[in-house]
Amino acid sequence: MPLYRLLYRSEIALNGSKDQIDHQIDQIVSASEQSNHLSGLTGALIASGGVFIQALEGPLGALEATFEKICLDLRHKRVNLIELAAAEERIFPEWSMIRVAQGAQMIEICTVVGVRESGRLDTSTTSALVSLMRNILLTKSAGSLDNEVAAGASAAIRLPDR
Amino acid sequence: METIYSCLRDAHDQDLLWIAALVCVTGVYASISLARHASRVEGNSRKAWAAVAIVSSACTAWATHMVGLLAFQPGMQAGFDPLLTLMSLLLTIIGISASMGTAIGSRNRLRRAGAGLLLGLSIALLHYLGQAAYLVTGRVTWNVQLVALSLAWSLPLFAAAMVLSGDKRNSLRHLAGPLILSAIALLHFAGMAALELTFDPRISLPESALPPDVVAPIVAAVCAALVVLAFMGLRFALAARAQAIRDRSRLKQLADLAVEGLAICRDGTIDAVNGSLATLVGCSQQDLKGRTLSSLLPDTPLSKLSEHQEQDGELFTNDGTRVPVRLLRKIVKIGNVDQTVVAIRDQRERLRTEQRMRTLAFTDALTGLANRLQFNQILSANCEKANATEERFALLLLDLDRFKFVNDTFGHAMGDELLKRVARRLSACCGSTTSIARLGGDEFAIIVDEELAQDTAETIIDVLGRPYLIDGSIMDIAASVGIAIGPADGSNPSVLSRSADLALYTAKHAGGSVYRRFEREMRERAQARRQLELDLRRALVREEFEVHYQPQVDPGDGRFQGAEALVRWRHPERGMVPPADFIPLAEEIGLISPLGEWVLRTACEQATGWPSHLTVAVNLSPVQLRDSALAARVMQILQDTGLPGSRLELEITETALLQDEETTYNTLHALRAMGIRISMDDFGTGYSSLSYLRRFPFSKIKIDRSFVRQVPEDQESVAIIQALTSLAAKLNMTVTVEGVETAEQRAFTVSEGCNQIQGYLISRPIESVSIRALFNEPLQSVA
Repeated sequence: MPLYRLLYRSEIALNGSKDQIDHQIDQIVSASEQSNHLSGLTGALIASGGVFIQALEGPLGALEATFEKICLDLRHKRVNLIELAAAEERIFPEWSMIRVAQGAQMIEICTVVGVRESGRLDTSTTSALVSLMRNILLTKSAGSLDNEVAAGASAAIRLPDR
Repeated sequence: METIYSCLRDAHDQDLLWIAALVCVTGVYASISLARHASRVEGNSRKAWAAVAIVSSACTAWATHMVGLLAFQPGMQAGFDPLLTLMSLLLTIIGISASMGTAIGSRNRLRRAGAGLLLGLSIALLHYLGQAAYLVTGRVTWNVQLVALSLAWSLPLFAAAMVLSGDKRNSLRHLAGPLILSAIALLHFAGMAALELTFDPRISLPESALPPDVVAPIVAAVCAALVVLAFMGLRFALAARAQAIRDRSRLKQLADLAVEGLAICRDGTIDAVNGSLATLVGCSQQDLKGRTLSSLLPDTPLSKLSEHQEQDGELFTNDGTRVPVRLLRKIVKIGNVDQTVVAIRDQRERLRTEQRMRTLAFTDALTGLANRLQFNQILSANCEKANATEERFALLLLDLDRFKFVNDTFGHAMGDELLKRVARRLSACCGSTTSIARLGGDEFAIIVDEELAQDTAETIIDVLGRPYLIDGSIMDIAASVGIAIGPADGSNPSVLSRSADLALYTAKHAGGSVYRRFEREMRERAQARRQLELDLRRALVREEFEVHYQPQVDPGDGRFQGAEALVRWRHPERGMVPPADFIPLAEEIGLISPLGEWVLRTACEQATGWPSHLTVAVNLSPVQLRDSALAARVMQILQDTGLPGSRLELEITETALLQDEETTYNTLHALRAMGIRISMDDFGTGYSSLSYLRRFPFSKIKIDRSFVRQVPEDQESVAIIQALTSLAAKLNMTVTVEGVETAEQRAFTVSEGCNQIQGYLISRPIESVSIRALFNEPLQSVA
């Protein structure tokens, strides 16, 4: 079955204190982990600076159905589809859904996506973006920082000079 | 009484008495069974069988009496007077006939009592005539007292028996038979006891007297006939019973076939039910027998049920559910008995169907939302409530931007899927109590509390604007929302809807993806626009349009080359209306074609009054260009006015070329063939597609005024004009620069080699009279 990857950005519209919001996001991640597991999707979520960035990958039908659910959700605003494209392989095969913890590289990602508030990004940029997401996840779980990989990936997503 | 008893015991042959009793019983059975048979058959045979029954009953009485007399042992020689004996039989037949004739078919007690008396009298007559016919060799004395007593006792018994036989109650009716038997016995034996015979050898039997040996066989024959009749009666009865059983089972089958539940009741207790009712209640037919009807229909007492009109009720089934039913009561004669039949019709299926029909009538089949019909009702209800309570509510009308594009590009199936998703997203945006409807196409309506209106509108615009991923395609649409508050912006549904519609119109004109609240000015603007539209429609007929001309000159020597025709509207009240105010409106309402044609004709006409080397340039709208008959029409105008094609220039904009290139291509080439020149107007502002310059036969490019405004200071504008001029020269086209207002700008155009200029520096657009005067001045130059 052909594999697709979807990347979107939205503004968090949750109410409460910082801790409460954090708790709610963890709940969203665990709920989506369960439902993604059933529909064969994998992916990761960044929630930082008032913005969600989520990558989802899997078969097209499941991806479209899940994205429609995401679009019905009022817990975020201004959902902006960054990419929907065929993918060669899963970037996040280990995780039905996982939250990417706060870190230095995340600012980078948010900047890239934030600058282009609307409109889609080209595939090379988004590929680099999700690779960076994966690296953050791996370095956090390995407990060591693979600087070289992270730096390479973050260089790749830098927008061309304008 | 003692006399009677001793008479029975001593003076009778006991065996014969038993035979008398047997004859009586047999005869009575024969009479009754034949009478019943008569009641079952129809036509002439009915009367015949009734007669047989009556004769047999009379014969029974007579035969019984005769056997009784034969059993009598007076202890002397006895004989029978043949005439009196025969008369006793005949009179009995007549008497019983009369009695039956009186009683039959009547329930009147007095009448039946009369019939009973008649019966008694005829039987009494039979007895006493019969006894009178009994002759002995002795003296006969009558105990008158006993005779009177027998009559006094038996006659009322007969009357009572007849009354009882006509009673409705079975138990009383069964008493009639024994009563008649006892009355007969009383009459007979009292009569016998009243007879006192004293042997007197001097008295001999008359010659005519028939001895018992002769009478006995006759009586026996009658008895035999009665036995035969009894057997016939028995056969009839058995056949009738078998028929009744067949009928009943057929009736039961018929009842079981009925879809309706049927219960036959007596005094509120169920006697029988059909299969349908048993199935409906959920038990066997046998189980229902003996239950009260009120255990099935607790809310509907039998007495309240109408015999003429069905009514609604609830049936309690065995598993405790309540089934809505329709009920009808009927009194039906089953056999000879009136019984109450209750028909019970299950309404669940009908109600379900009705519900489905209602759902279909009031819902949008595609999205499952309310449809326009239902929404109108909801809106009316809200308006009424708002008017009564001053409680405000918001009506949101929304419309999808770019939906038509999706529908046209991806197909209707995709459009439908998109609408379904829009409906689901709308439902997600609003609370469960909010009314959401699809009014048709891509139009939706929502009613919310006033204070939620803006938040809801914002959420809707956000959520509906999120991408739709359908079968690998990404669809981006957006929503525009118009809000009107009831009752402030309209106290009735139509005014309120119009207000919301105006707000929606404003939102769409603001570019979409926004919401607008209704404002009074919108109504005023709409009214003004409507007024302008009306005026515009009349303006052509009233000849309110004028053609003005802006001269075009050679920038080098300042000589006139021609003029551009420009339409002006002299409104009777508002004065001159600028083209920007009415041209788009004229395009929208389809007035641009006749107006454009009028301008063309007028310009051609007026240009014929100019010196013959001057050209006239006329603008063509995209609508005109789409008309495949345009070339023929232009040709006609040239013929009518006499203007050579070489003096006409038609200006078209780039947007006109976007639609239907094929037609446009053909039209432009046909015009070129007439010698008409085509110029590309406003070049540089739109797509400025160079391929158009190559594909279409342009002879001139008009550089838009916006580029000229900043020359010669702005280097970029200078570069663009230089590039366009050299491009035009290479393509063998001339260049006109519009909007030249200063001498520097003119000098710049001269240095760049532009062929023609037009602008305020030369002249603003002027009336036709003035331009003619200008062109006809001896010095044909403004330089």
